[in-house]
Formats: sequence, structure tokens, C-alpha cells
Amino acid sequence: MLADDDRDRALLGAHLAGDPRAFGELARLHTGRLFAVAVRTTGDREEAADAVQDALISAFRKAGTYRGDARVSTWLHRIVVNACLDRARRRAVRPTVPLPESGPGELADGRDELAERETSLDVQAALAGLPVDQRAAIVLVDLEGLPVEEAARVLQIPTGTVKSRCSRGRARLALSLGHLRNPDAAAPVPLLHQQAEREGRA
Amino acid sequence: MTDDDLDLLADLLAGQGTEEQVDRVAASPELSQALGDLADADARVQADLAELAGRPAPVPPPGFAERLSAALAAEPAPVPLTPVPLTPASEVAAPDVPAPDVPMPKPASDPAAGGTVLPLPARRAPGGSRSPWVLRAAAALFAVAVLGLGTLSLRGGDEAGDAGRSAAVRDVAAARQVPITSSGRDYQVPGALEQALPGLLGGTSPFREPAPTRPAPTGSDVPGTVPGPPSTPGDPLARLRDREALRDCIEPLLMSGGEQPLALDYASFDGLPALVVVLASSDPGQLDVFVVGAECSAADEQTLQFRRVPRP
Repeated sequence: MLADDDRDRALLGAHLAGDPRAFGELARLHTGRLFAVAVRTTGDREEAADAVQDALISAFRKAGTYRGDARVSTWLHRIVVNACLDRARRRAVRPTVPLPESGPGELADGRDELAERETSLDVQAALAGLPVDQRAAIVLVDLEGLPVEEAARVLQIPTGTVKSRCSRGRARLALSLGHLRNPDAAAPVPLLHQQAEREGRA
Repeated sequence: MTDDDLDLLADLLAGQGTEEQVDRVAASPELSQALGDLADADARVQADLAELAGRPAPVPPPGFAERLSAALAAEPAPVPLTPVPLTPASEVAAPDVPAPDVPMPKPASDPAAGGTVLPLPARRAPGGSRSPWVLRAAAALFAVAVLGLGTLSLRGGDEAGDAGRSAAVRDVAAARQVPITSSGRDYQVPGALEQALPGLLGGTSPFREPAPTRPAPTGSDVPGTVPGPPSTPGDPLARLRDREALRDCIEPLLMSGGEQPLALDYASFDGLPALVVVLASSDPGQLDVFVVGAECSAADEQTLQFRRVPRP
């Protein structure tokens, strides 16, 4: 990772020094992952594309303000996520229609693949219904695999808030996906209750 | 189950609950059962998310790369606003400020201190060892500012909840104060920043407003506004005197959620209204100073100038 960051810093430095190709190369290296984050945060491929393009142009312009404290990829993620959050907040109540992430026209092969795709579509639909702050945290941590500390740097919030947002978001996903039934009808799986029984306090 | 209950249980599951909340849930058979259900459901959701994550990553629409290349090619070459050390991360000194030579004023709670500015906690180095409690408290307190007369508290939304640590948080609030000045000074003038910095950071400032004749309301008394002289009609920086707008503007400039500005100055730059934001740098001997425009926001900081300057 550090080697990648050294490369990214060198590209950013070359960009600032006037190399006309350096930022394009930096963008090329990161566009795929940035777009994945954007499409999962906005729930809309076209809007994600616009957000990534706007964010990369913004990064191009303000490369001189990069402070060298975070990894370049973290800095880029931060700009992209902010662009996505800004767009999502502007259209807060507009429902999103989750699209297959692999793009239209790609056919699923086999029953398992089809079932997995259906599950993924359900998860994407549920994800699109989350409050955007929770969605962004889940995208970074649970989908992109960023460590909580890294996600905290991208989102510029404390690690505890990242954990809280992820957990709250997953709780709502559990409801949307039918994994969490109405507590009145649910068969109890009382972890604390069982513990209390073992301790003779129930 | 209410939304609040669901959030409470989710926070506990994430290890973010207070002892009081843990006790409350443990004392309630219904909530205890619900917590167990949620733990089960959370595992299933994580499995679903893992499955989604394992699928091919979404790819940009056709033509995206070409559009982006064309857009970047149309951009004028960037002008470095200041030499930024682009050294490998492994060579960047562990940020840990304030520097030893930074004056350590008395706490504001000390009557003798008269509203002096406390040093801010050290910037968290990657993998640093700041206490998690301090980080959480810092989250609940985006910034507390003082203008010699009042305090400003820009509370961030720590969804883990503030209950149970409010007293401790208040202690931190009292200790985390940032001076705000409204000098109107034009920072494009050579030497203006260097001349103003000592005053901005809490010393005697020729640009600071005169002391108030009566105590100003505290930040909590006037939620939503930044303490200081009331915005005059036509004040081009009136928008950034709103607490939320100020937070949206400053947050993208910070390196971590717990960081706070060292000083703010409602000023100008090349004749344009501008806000000066002074931040600790990764180099303990330096300060990072952003000059941002009046429409600064989370989406666009409108950086007019960025300079890394020696601490005065």
C-alpha cells in the first residue's frame, strides 16, 4: 500500500510540476475503485459517473492543497464521497432505482448465479433506502473493505461514529431484507437473556 | 421496536453504547431478546454484503474514460499554491502538535485566563494512540470557539449518542476553544498572514474586535450562529457565520474528525470576502492556512490560497 501511495504522491507532484499526463494517470489508476464507491453510495450509475468526474476535476484543480498527511487514495476517496453525499443530500427524497452493478446486458449464467444476482439486487435496493450517511459508511467498510480507521479518515468522522453508522445501517438493512422480524413475532434468540439465566438472574 | 431502540441496539452491537445503555438493555427482557435477534440478523446482513462485495465491481458507463480525459485536458494547468511536501508517507514525520515551543495558555475556565485559548489536542497520527474516549468526545464537539466574549460549539452528530459522557464531554468542550476574529484584513497583501498569525492564535491582536461591554451569550444560548459581532446588512461572509455552514466549509479541510481549526478570521483576499482557517500542520513547526471564499462548502471549499507557514 505504501508503495502505491509513493507512486500516487509522485504522480501528484509531477502534476503540480506541470506534467500534463500525470493527473490523468493518477485518475486512471483510481477511477475503478472510486466509481465503485460512488455507484454504491449514490445508487445510480450515471449520477456516480458525474460525481466521480466532478470530484476528479476538483482534485485536479486543488492538487496544490493536498497536505500530504493522508494517503492520496484517501484524499481522492474523500473528495468523491463528499461529492456523492452532496448529490445524495440534494435529492434526499428522490427514490433511487438500483441497477445491476455489473452493467446492463450482462447475463447471469446458471441458477446459482441468478440467485446470487437476485440477492445482490435486493441488497442494493435496501442499501439505496438507507440514510446516505449510513450508506456511505457501509459502502466503505462492508463493501470496499476499508479498515474502520481509513473510512473514518475518508468520511472525516471518528471511528466510533463509523462503527455506529455501519451497525445502524445494517440494522435497517436487516429489516428491509427480512432478516429481522417484528420482535413481537420473532422467536427469541436472547443472548443477554440466556446469559442472565445462566447467572440465575432471569 | 422504535427507531430509537433499533439505533440503541445497533450501537451496543457495535460496541458504542454507554454503560447506562448496556444496563438498560440488560434489565429489559424485551430489549435483550431484540438485541439477540439483531446480532443474528446482523451476521446475515454482513454475509449478504460480503456476497455483493464479491461480485464484479461496478464499472463506469461506456465513454466515461474519454469524457473524463477530455474534461481534464480542458482544465488549465494547476498552480501550486504552496510547496507541499510530497514525500512518501513513510517519511512524513508523525504529526504530533502542539510543538514544544507553542505557548501553553491557561485554561479558559481559569478566571485569570480571561478567555485565552487552550492548546488543541495533538493531531492524531495514523495508528496513534489517542484514547478512544477522547476521539468520541472530539466527535461530539466539532469546534468550540471564543471571540473573547462568547463561545461557539459546533456539535458534530456523533450517532453513538452523547448520553452518559456528557459531563466528560463538557469538560473537553471547555478545554477546546478556537479564537475567531473578524479583521476584514486582506491576506493577499505580502506579509499580512505572518503579521496577523500571532494575534489570530490567541495573543494580542490588532485586528481583534474590542472587548464587549457585557457578556455575550454562549454558543448554546444562540444555537446556529457563530458568536461575534452581529452580521451587518450586506455582510458578504454572513453565510459563514452560520454554525452549520461554517462546519460544512471547514470539515473538508481537516485531516481527521477530531481536528479543529486553531483560529478563524473573517477577512478578505484580493478584495474578495474570505475566511482564513488556521490548522495545525503535519510538521509540528508549521501551520497550514487556508483562505477560502464566501461560498465555501463541503462540496467546494473555494480555496483561494493555501500556505504552509512557520509557527510564529
